[in-house]
Amino acid sequence: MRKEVIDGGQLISIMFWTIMGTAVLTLPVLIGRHAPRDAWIAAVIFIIGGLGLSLVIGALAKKFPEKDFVSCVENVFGIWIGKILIAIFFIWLLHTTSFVIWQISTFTKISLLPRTPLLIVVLIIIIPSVYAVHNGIESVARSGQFIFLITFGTLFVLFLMNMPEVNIENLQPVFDDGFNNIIRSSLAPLAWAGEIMFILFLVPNVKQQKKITQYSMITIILIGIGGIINEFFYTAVFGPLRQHLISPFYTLVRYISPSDFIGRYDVLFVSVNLAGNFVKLSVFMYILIFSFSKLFKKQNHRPFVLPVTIALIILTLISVEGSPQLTNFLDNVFPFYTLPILYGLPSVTLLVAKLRKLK
Amino acid sequence: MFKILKTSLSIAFMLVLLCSCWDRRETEELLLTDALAIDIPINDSDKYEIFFIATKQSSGGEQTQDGEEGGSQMEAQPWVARSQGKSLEEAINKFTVRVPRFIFLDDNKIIILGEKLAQRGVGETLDYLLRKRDLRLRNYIVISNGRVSNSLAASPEFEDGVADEIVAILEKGSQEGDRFHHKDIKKFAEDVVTEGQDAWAPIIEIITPTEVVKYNVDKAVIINKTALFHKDKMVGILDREDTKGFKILKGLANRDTFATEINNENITYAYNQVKVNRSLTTNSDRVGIKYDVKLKGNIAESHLYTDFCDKALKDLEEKFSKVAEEEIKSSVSLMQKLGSDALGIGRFIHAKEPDIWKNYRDNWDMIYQDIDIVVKVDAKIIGTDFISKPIIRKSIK
Repeated sequence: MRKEVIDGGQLISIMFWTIMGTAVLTLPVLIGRHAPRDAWIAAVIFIIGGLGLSLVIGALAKKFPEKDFVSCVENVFGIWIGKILIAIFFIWLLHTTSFVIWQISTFTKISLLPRTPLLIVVLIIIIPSVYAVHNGIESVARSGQFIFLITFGTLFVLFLMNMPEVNIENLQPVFDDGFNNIIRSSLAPLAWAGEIMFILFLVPNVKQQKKITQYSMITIILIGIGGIINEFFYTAVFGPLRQHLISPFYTLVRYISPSDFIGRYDVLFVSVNLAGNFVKLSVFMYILIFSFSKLFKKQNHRPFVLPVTIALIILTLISVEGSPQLTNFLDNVFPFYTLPILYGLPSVTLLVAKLRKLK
Repeated sequence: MFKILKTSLSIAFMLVLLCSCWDRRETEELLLTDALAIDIPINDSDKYEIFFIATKQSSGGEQTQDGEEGGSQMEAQPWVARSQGKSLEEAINKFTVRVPRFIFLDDNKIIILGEKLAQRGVGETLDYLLRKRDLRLRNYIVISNGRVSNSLAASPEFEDGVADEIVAILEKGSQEGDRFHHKDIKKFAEDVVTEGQDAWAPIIEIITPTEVVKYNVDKAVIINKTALFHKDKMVGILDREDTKGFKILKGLANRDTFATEINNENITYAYNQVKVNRSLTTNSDRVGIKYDVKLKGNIAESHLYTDFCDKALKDLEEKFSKVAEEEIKSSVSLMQKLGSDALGIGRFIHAKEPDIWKNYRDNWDMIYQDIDIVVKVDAKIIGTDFISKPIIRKSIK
């Protein structure tokens, strides 16, 4: 098989939407539950956590430049312990991907297709990603790069149009939510930031592997600044009302009204979100199918695309009961097992590799 | 393997295209509401009464003898439907099952709440409306003086329907004078949930035929008062003069007038620029608030002869500053008496002095009624609009 190569810009583009895709839908609600006024601080903590993990990712990539994360773990811990660790990661990813699909499908169902059965919406969402994954990471990266430029610009304009509604007083007094609440509100964003470790699966495909730390940091800073701007706008525009909104970003976009003659910007947000989440889902599915094929020592991931997709569809339809249950789960359970996997696994791998002086 | 994948993807894709017909909607199947009005029903066990106000499009064309349609004119007809239930959802459902249309709230422009409902509390209603995904937060909110059904009986004077008439008055009128100000659901709900801030909304009322200039209209709708809330309950009303003072302090004022008398003759000052600066004052252990209001405007009408020299203008400025100050203070006193912190003084203390707010928070309702609110007005006359001598009665010349 020809080795697929992606450049730094493409890596940043796909990783941006890999983290941002569902973050714009879910994180404002989770952060707003604990620290509505100081929500922007959660985005700062997101940057700190993400940058820390970027250093670990960079160090691992430097140590094992031609190895993906599966081979790297097997090399460091030995075949069997390595396989067990990757299997744990695989189960986490399978479960997480199922509710990523559920979140995207439910948002699409609510905003565009309220009467269409969820299964059909899931199929609409998953088919483009399955096709992209089947074609390989290069296809995902190229479409990601194209989508990134358009969606980034659109989001920027959408926020600018909300400027007249900004009330800075809504952010005062700073640190009013209390230290404990601010830290609690930043757990979910930290878990999202952990997804930057997916880069480790793509290391052999990256053109300039020496710059992995830089790429990872740029991605985290871009998303972090985006998060600060997002949270700033939710609080400045809605004040404490943001706690009572089901989807703050969607509501924010629906609230835009700079003039009487052009309105209804929701379609822009829904399009941007669908495009961004196509990238997110493609990356999640690629890493999932890739790690699964590697687990069975297969070089070609394509034979696994269909079975894993079917498993994902079934899991999506049975694993989530509804939005309130998912929100509670993402707030109260998800960060506590995600943080050890996404931060712990690469850090321990690096530590053991250093202790064992592996090269 | 690739063949199987390709085939299954193609089948799935075709299924998707076929199945998306679930959400197909023809525009004629939709009931595009202009306004939603909610009230408490009279003498009934139900809790809510809901009105849907829409403009129904109907063809005005006639069929010719050879069967062709003789025109494509569409005539807009105002249309009001009523339903009631133990909950808002039940009221809407009862209505949905008896009409062959899908209620589409995306184009709704205004929410009208009955006075009794506002006095009982709007918390549940607001919560329901915020959760209605197709309802936009840009919807204006108004309170009906008395029952909603009475307000809806008004005939529009200039627009197609009463809802459009109210929206037009809200949008244009808020810019032209300071007798009311529009408020949307987002801002209203934000006030209800914000600590140290109470909500307010304009009031619509019906005027009788004798007051209506255009006599082919039975009843017309006007807006010139403001409903004040405490928490989610309406606690009182600011009349048109008090609303002016309230709008000035809120920084929402655009233009309006203050009138006074000199030698028993009227003189009117029309301000068109307003700047408000509020600051906290501390007097021993008490916190107060000071409003510095700067007005700029013209002498718009004078029934007495004067040459408007510098000294005369200075005297007039002082007089108008005093008049404005009195009117604004009267508005503030009424708000304090009613216990409605619509000016957001508590929220201001919270934002600027969080430590003091911690002590005030639990007893804010009591503290607010006694807090010192100082209003200083500086009215400047930037023009007299009297280049030539005014026409006045000879007796006082």
